[in-house]
Amino acid sequence: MSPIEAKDQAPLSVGRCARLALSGMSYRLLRSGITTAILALAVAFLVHVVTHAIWTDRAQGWAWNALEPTRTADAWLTRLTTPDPVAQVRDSLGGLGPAAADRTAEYTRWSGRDDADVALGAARRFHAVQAWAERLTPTQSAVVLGGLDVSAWLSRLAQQPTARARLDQQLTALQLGPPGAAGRESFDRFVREDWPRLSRAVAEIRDHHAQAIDRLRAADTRPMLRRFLDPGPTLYTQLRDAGFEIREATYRELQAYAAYRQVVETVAATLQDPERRRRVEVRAGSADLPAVMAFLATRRGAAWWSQDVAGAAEDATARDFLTAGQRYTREQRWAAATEGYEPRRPAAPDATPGNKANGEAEPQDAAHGGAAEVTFAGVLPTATWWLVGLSLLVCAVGVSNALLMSVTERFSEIATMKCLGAMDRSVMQMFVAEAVIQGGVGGVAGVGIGWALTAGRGLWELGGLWVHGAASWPAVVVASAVSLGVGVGLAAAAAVGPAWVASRLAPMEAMRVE
Amino acid sequence: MSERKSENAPPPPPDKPVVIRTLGLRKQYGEGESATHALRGVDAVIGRGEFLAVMGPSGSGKSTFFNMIGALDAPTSGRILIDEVDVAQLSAAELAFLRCRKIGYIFQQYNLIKYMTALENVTVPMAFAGVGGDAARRRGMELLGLVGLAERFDHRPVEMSGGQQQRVAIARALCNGPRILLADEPTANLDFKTGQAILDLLEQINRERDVTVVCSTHDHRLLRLCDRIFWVRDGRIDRVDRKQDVTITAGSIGGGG
Repeated sequence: MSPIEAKDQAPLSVGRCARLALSGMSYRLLRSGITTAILALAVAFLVHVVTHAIWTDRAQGWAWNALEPTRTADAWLTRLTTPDPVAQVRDSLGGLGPAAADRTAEYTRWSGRDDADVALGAARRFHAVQAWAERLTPTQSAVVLGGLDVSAWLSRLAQQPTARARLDQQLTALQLGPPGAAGRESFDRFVREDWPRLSRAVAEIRDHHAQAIDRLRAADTRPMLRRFLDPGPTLYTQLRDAGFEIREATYRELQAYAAYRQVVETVAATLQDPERRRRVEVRAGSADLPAVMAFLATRRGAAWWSQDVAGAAEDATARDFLTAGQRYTREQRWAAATEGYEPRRPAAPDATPGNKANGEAEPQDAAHGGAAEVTFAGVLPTATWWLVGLSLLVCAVGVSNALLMSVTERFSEIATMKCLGAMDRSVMQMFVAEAVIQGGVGGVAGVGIGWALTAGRGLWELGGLWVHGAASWPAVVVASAVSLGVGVGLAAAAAVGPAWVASRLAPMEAMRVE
Repeated sequence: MSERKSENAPPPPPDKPVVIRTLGLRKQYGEGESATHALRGVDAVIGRGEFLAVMGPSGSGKSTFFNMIGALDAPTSGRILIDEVDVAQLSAAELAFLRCRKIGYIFQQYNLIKYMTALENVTVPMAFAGVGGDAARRRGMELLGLVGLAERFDHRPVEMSGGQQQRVAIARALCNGPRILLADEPTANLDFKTGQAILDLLEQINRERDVTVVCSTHDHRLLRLCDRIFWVRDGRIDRVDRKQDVTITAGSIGGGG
């Protein structure tokens, strides 16, 4: 018989460890399965919570942007009948973005007098003060603003010299810089001169706006929606003549929107008729507007409506109903998805030219869409983190228990192994390898389950897998990898304790334990 | 360490090099009044190539003695020297080395690893010795051939009879070429015929390979095979017999000397 090559007592190779662990696990399939399942559930929960948060955030941003044309159209239809509110005038005057630029042009024209540029400058300074106020901590804000909003606060400062003096003391005490980046004296001047001037300009602008609305109404007394349905540029010319700064593209969008709203209103009006309402109820299952619009979003429903329900007076075709139904349904879903969503505002403009980005731009000012900025801590509310932590804790207890059982019931096996020359380290290795394999398998399964849950929930809550097109894949992949790591780490950590105890035992003690 | 001598004189040293030597070996389980004294001072000398039987009634301390000389359990006091090295001085890794290379263990319950095939069971100690892959498999097959189970290498313990399992255990015990084979009641769970085969196998190994075999047993057939017999009683070696001193009649023995 060939003599054996005696080397040193060798630690087990990784492959050997894995094979030993796998054959052990296949023998104890049920227990290994349960341990793996617990790990899978924990990882799935973690992955789901985080990816859902990321996806939802992205999806909400996406839906918000998708609703932008509708919001613009709604805003236009409103401002053709009602003057813009004070705050809106103040915010749009000198604001950022193409829409604000149009509005500024319009307002500058309406402010009428030669001090339009002065009003614009005052507005920009006001934006800077507003941005400054937003950066205050809640405590600072309570002390300085005293619970008022910025415009009310400025008005009080303008009227009461004592309040201005008190502000100086407060700023010194809080070690705050002067509001709006410029010097304190410049702020003082702004409060005394520019702020009242701005308020006057805003009032004037609103006055002119009301006059423009009156002119529009004098030209044609039909409701605005109807007037948009007229072919040809008549209304467009009237709008320009009245002083509204509207682009041709916007006008065409408004026409399309008006047509769509008209169809929706026709449908709503039709549902008021009891006889037709009953017929719709039978056919569509419900006579609520959203349900009916969802029904119209199908080819069959639109055709039926245009033939059997729509009266002769309605000149909409089946195609119009179909388009309107689809748009209505889509927008309802998006509106639901963006409920409670706060769009990230672009950075406020700075009053003093040359002092642009002063280096402390808040992260939320960054444009929506930078994947790298998504941090897990920011994605989840604190309460959810508690939930995640607790579930991981419960899972850790469950896994420790399962592995403790696994080690305990294998004491005699461990003892045998030690009789055969296993080092303490080898015993540890085998159990940790087993745990890591279980953690890995459970983790991968958990990531899959987590994704499936998120996809399913996206489908259920936001109405489609289009959500995933808006997903931030790098963030999702990182989140999943971290969760997988947490699963494996959890398993390994849970295994180390029992395996340590088992590996320390003298062989015969271990055998006696049973 | 207690220097108190056992009542009996230590067994006479054999005319062979000493492999295992114990000095005043004591083992006690528990503390104080309720303590159980499993061994009460055992001095023994076992020579190279001996075939030794340890006999005694249940609870006499045979298994404890067996565990002590196998370095599977630490004595309360006293010393064990294997190849003249004090086991108590060895580190955990050195103990593992000792158990892996110098001693082969055979248990009453076979203690095969349930989820491994016969061949895998045999190769486990070789993995711990750093021998793997084809070399280990080849040697494992040779040893399974030696114990007559070459064709059953792919069976798991549950698919084998007790005798077959015990033979796999013997093959496993031999795989790293040990100097000492410790067998703790190897035939207790086997029927008469199978037990005989196992004993024959042990004797063959002892003879052909010059392996020291220490066998604790109730099996009186062993008396015919072994060189010496330790009669253990009440935690002490009561008597040491040489084979030629014992007369054996079928099914019963008459002690001599």
